[in-house]
Amino acid sequence: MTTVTSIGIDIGSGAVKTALFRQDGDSTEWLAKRVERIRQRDPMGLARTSYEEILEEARLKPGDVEYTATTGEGENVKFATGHFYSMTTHARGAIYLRPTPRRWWTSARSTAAPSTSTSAARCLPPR
Amino acid sequence: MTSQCASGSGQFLENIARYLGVAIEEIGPLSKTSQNPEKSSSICAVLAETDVINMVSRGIATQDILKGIHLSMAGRLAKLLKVTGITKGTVLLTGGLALDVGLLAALQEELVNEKITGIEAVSHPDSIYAGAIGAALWGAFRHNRLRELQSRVAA
Repeated sequence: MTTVTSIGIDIGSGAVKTALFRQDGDSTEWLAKRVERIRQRDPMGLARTSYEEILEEARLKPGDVEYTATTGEGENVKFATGHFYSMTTHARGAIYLRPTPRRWWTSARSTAAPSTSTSAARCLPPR
Repeated sequence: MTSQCASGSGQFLENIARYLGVAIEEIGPLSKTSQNPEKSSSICAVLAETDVINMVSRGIATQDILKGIHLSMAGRLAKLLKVTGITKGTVLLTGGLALDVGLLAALQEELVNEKITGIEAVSHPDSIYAGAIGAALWGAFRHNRLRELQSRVAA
């Protein structure tokens, strides 16, 4: 499995949050994070500077990043690879931060069908 | 705040705090000292803001106003949890408001009020990043999926 480097940009009403991840097979590494309060500034411009700063912090170049994902109000960010709906990203983030909340559905599923515990099967279906 | 979407609840609370002359970090601890929370009945943020202005002119204490807002938000969250039918497990607050200890305390109270005793509400120091984390992880997931599909097409 090759490494995948990805950046998530969450544009909210009060702040722009950025997270940089590197995944290698089953291992997930959280490399850097930034939170920038919007105040009176332009959220789109702030997304750009946050993106540049988080890359700089991790000593990476834009070409090193496989996927730049936006969420929240970030549909119109030009340099992003794709956009994800807020509810799915917050849920995914919550599962990352606190892996226990998903037990209710993994256990329900594994009793219903034989467990297929490959890394892909443990992920939620794609949107 | 509606049942589907928080639509800037945090921004709303921030506006109220600015109006009351309270720093963002003080909202939670202040709310926790409230003895007589004044519940705001309005659903939309614009009307709730008017409510708060009325409360101030009626001489309601700052901590009681803040707790009232926390309880209205938490009440909606608890009701939403109730309709999902989930009765046990842990629920994690995400987004910037997750750092607000007053909202977390209010949610725990409302869960008791709604008789949802099997669910534990918690927060996480990195809760504010949940959306960004999720976007990055979904992005990586989509990237892998696309590469997989492309190699299958090529083969």
